[in-house]
Amino acid sequence: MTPQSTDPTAVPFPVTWADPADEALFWQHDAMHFPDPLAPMEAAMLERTLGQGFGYGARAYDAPLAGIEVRTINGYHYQSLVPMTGTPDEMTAQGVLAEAAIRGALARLDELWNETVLPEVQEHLDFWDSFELDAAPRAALAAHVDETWTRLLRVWELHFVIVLPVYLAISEFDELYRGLFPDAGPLDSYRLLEGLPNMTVEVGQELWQLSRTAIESRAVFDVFMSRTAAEIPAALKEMADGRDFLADLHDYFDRYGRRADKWTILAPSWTEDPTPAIESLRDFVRRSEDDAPSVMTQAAAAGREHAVAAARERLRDYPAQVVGQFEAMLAAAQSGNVISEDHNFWIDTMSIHHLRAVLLEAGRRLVDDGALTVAAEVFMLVPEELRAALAEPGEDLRPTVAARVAAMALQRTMAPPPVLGTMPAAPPPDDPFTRFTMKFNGVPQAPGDDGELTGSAGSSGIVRGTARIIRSISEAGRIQAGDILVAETTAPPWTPLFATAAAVVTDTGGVLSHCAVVAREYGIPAVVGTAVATTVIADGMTIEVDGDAGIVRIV
Amino acid sequence: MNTTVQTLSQQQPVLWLEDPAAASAPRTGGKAAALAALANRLPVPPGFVVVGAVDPIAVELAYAELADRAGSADGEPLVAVRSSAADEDGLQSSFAGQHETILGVSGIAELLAAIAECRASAHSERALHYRRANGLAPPRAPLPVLVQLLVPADAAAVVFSVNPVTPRSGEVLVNAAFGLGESIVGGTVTPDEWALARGSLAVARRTIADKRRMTVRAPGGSREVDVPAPLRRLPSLSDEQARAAAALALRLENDLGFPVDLELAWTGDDLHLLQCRPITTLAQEAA
Repeated sequence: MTPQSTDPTAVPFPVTWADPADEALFWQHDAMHFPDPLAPMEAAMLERTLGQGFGYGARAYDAPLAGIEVRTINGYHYQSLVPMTGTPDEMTAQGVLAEAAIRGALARLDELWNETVLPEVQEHLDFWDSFELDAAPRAALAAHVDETWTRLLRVWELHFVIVLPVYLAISEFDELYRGLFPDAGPLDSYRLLEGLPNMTVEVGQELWQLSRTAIESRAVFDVFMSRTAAEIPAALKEMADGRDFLADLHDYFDRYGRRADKWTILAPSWTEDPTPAIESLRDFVRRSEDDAPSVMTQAAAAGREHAVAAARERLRDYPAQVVGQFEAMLAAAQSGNVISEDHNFWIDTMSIHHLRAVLLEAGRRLVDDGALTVAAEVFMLVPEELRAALAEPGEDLRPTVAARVAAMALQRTMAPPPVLGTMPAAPPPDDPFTRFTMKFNGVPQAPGDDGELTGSAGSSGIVRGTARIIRSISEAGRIQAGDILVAETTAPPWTPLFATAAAVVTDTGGVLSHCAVVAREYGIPAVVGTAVATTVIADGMTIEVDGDAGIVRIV
Repeated sequence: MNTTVQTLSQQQPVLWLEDPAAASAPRTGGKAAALAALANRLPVPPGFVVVGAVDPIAVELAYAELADRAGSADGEPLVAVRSSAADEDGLQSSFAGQHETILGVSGIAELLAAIAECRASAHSERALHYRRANGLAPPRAPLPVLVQLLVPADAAAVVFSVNPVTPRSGEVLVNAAFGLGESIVGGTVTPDEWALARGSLAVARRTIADKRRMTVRAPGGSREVDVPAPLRRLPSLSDEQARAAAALALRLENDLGFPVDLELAWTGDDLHLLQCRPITTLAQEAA
């Protein structure tokens, strides 16, 4: 397969395979997590953490998968899910092993997270928190960088130890539910999982609480009404109420600020740059109690209880084994739904935050050496170059950085093909792992009629409104109540936008993706994985989102 | 039994299974009589037999008593309504599936309608054809109809005290599946199968099938639905349950003096005996 474009002005996307064997694999661009070109340091991070971490998780559950291969092609992140090969008997045996391993994990999902995975993750986070980066002597910092890579790998092994059963729990419950109730719609099973407290929702709710605190003081309120997000902190510092509020804000960032608005080490955390969070606060301050996130989560919780009760009533006279299976898988899927968000908070965003902080400190040392101009240029290096530069100062890295910055600028103009390599001859294997992966990433959609985009049904409901194409959370202020958020993808810190938007449309993702999960929590319609929403829909267009059918209409 | 009682009970339009008079096959039919004979010592779901001309008041009173016995909250418990021809479930011919069985009937109006439907089935083309083929005369008296509480079965089984295919193998055969027994009897599910040695009750063979369908008790009757995928290949019974089923079949074979074919159901650990009849194909072979 060679990438082709009918647009003669398109920037070519030349593919050179690092390993000739790669061409025989089927590669998919993970545009949901990584829509943009990656800096070399980040590419190295993903090749290590995702490849090794997923392999570790797959082996932990005897999954019938050889693993995930990760490559960076022209800066873009491609993954290949490599199926296991073997005789039919070997594959059957592997399937039996996997099933037993999964059942075991699903039966104790909460325990696995709360007593095994999370405590160890927190140990690593404490390690990073307790290390005083700016005070560390150079040798200690160099050792800390090495230690950080080692721990990062371990954290991502843990990531997949928890994530695989988490998504399996949700996916398998969905399949059970549809089997029991063949008349169910595509999103009905997820209603039984909504409205349980999770970290993503907590982050949004606590930010909302801060907005209520801001309203209590006339002076603070006035600052939020009259200043831009960037001006607000300095303005608050000028007044007593404002300083109290800043202290609250600081506490908030202490608890929730170790996260950026994208899954990338290039983006500053809220602790570094609070502007995106303050932007959301500015919007919240202008809103009434009716818009409180708790109103939506309470509605979601009531909807959940109603849906659970209805399902139990329908199963009242079913065999006890069926009811038992339903209850066990419901419990696992509810835990899974919560952990699917909580793991993002504790693992994905936190580990990226700490790696970024460690690398930036190393970058500052290289700036002191005169090897770099600004600390953030460290992300343009690969780990081995950084290691060498820390051990032995002297080499001027600025030309290397300049060349790579130029390369990334060119890469940004490319349109990465969604797939590369060799299209598999056989359909994807029908095992629970592959099935949930497809629900997470979404499946390719057939193009719809004129003026119609098709994606995966992500969250139920039909809404019409003005499309707002949002590329980063710094544009959050452009979303007004009733607008429809249209984005390539949404990272967890975008959650506050879900409280404002009337609906969400994304280019990437499936029914189990973060965006769809959060939309269901907020009770707003979502169509995910349209592939083209941000290119076909123009900002300001009126669109209609049908979250049940997975269709977006331009009206 | 003295003559007076006999005369009285002959006039009774409804006979409870535990009434000794119900154990008479000429009165209540083969199926009901066989259960009535066992109702006092085995866990047969409570029920009654409607005989002779239907007396709606008597049926209504009996249904109300059944509701009491079931502890039914709304007074309208779900019942199973089955035909019980005088010559049905005899040693010669089983009539299996030739007469109507209506599951999940609730309320007196539905019940009376179901009894009428059951009776009409005795004259159906299918039933009459079966009679002709087996050399039986058309039914003369109104067909007795058995009304029993419908057990909310977690699993059901058909048990043969002698393997009807290989009678000399010395095996008791247990076929079981999830839910009510109708999917097994109707052949819409491939059941799990246990073959147990008649002497030791040791499990000689156990075949867990891919059970795709099950019949469940549902509002307005019973329904056949898909078995959820994760359950399909799980055993519908434990070995202990299969062994208890086999033991019961051997005990009844010993008591009655002929190989038996049982229909059983479990609610939790509670076993219910739904049917007990001779294995007709073996009887014919012996004759």
